[in-house]
Amino acid sequence: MTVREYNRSVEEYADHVFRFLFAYLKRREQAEDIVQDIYEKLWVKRETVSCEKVKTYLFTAAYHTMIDRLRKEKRVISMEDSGVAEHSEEMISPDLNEILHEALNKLPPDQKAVILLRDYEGYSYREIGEITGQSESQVKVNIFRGRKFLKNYIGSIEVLI
Amino acid sequence: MNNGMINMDNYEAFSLDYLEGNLTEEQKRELFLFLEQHPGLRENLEEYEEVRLHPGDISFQGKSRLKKRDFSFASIDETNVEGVIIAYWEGDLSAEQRKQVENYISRHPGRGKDFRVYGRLFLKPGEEVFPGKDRLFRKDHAGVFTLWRLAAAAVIVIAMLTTLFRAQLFRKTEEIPVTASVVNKIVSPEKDIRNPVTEPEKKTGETVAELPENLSKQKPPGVVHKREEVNLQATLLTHCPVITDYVLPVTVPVPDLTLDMEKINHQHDENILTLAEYASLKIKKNVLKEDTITTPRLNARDVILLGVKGINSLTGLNIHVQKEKDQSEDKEIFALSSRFFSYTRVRPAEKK
Repeated sequence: MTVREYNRSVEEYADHVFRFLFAYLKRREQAEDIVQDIYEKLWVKRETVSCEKVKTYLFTAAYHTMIDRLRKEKRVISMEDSGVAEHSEEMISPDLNEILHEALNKLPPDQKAVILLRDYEGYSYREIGEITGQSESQVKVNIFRGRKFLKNYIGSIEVLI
Repeated sequence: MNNGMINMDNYEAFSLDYLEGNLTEEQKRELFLFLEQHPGLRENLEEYEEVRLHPGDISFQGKSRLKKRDFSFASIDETNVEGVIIAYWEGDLSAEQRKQVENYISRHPGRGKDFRVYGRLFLKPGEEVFPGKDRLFRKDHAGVFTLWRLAAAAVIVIAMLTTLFRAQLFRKTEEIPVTASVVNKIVSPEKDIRNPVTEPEKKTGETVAELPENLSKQKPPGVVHKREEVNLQATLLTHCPVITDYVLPVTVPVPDLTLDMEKINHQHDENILTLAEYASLKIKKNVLKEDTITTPRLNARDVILLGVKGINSLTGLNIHVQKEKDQSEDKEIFALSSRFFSYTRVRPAEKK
C-alpha cells in the first residue's frame, strides 16, 4: 500500500469508521481515539495491507480495538442482562432513525455491531463475520435477533408509519 | 439388579441402585422392608444420601445463542413468518421466495404491519465527520525526497557537463610532454600540483639545478627524475580530476631526487599500477562493469558514468548516458536522458 493509497483510505473511510464507532460507543472522544489508533496501526502495517482489503482491515481493527477497550473498562453489557425494553413515551421521537439508534444501544454487543455494519456499510454476512470474528450463521442469527429487538422496541410503530 | 431376596450380602448393591434410581417400585419396597428389619443399615443408607452431590438447578443461559437458524423455508406459517420477513428485507431470499412472502402477506393482512415495520428498521448513518483527519494524512517523503534528489542529480550532472569536463569530454588521454628540465627542488606541499608544468619560482636561497635535455630522454630503467614524477601526476590529474582530492603532493627530499619508477609508472611495467590506477581499474571492472579494460585510468566518460550510476542508485532514477556519432561521423553526440530531463551535447568527433 503506497502513501497515496493510505491517504486515500483516510479520505474515504475515516468518516465511515468513525460513524460506526461513534454509533456503537456514543462517546465521541473515544471513537476519535480509536480511529487515530487504527490508522496508526494501518500505517505501520501498510506494506502488508493491500489497497483492496483496507476497508475491511480498518473496520476489523476498529471493532476489535473497541471491544478490547470496552472489556478493559468492563463496560460490556452482558447479553443475558440486556432485556428487551419497550419504547417508552418519553423516548418518543418523530425521527424513526433516532429511535432506532436509541434502540441500538440497548442491543447486546454482538447484535449491535452486526446491525451497524450491515446497515451503515452494507457488508455481507461473510464480511461481517470476517470483521467481528463470528461465523456467517452467527451473524445471521444476530441480525435476526437484533431486528426483532428493534421491532419490539419500536412498539407503537404504527403511529410513525 | 438381580431379582431375589435382599440379604446381608447384597443389600449394599441394592442400596446403591436405590440411590442411583435404578430400582423398581417392588425392589424399593423389598429394600425398605429389609432395612426396617436392620435399623443400623438404614442409617448407613441415609448417610450415603447426605454425601451425594446434587447438581442444583443451574442452567446454561446462552442456549439460544448456540442454536442455529436457517432462513431457508419450505413453506411460510406462523412459526417462521417473522424470520422470513426479516430475511425478505435483508435481501436473503430468491425472487421466487420473495413472491411467496408477498403472497403470504397478502393472504394474512394481520402480518402486513409487521412486514412494513421490518422494512423500516434499517439504521442510517449520521453526518458525523471524523475531525482529526488532517492528523492521519501522511506526507509522501519518498516522493519529496525523489524530487529533491532529482534536482540534485540534475544540478550535479549539468555541472559535470558544463564545467568539469567541458574541455575533456571524450578526449583521449593526452600525455603532457615531459619537459627536459629537472628541477632540483623540494616540491612544497603548498605548491599547486595542478599546474606542475609551471616553472618553479626561483627564490633566494633555493638551489635549482637543471639537467641536460638528453638526460631525461635517457630514462634509466627504474629511475625517474622528480619533474617526471610531477608530470606523471599531472597526467593523472588531467584525466582523473575527481581523484585529485585524494592525491597529495609528493614531497621528496633533495637526496631522493630519483624515484623507483617501477613502483609508480606503469609505462615501464604494465603489471605494476599506481594506487590511483589500481583504484580506477577496480572501479571500471567492478562498478562500471567494463569487460574490456583498455586503460586503467578513469577518463571523463568513466567519471560521468560513475556519477550517473550513483545518482541512479540514490534516486531510483534511470538516467541513461549515450554517446553516438552522427551519420557523417564528424560529430559526436553525448546525451544524458531520463524521463524527467535530457541533456545533449554535440561536439566535433575526434579524428583517429
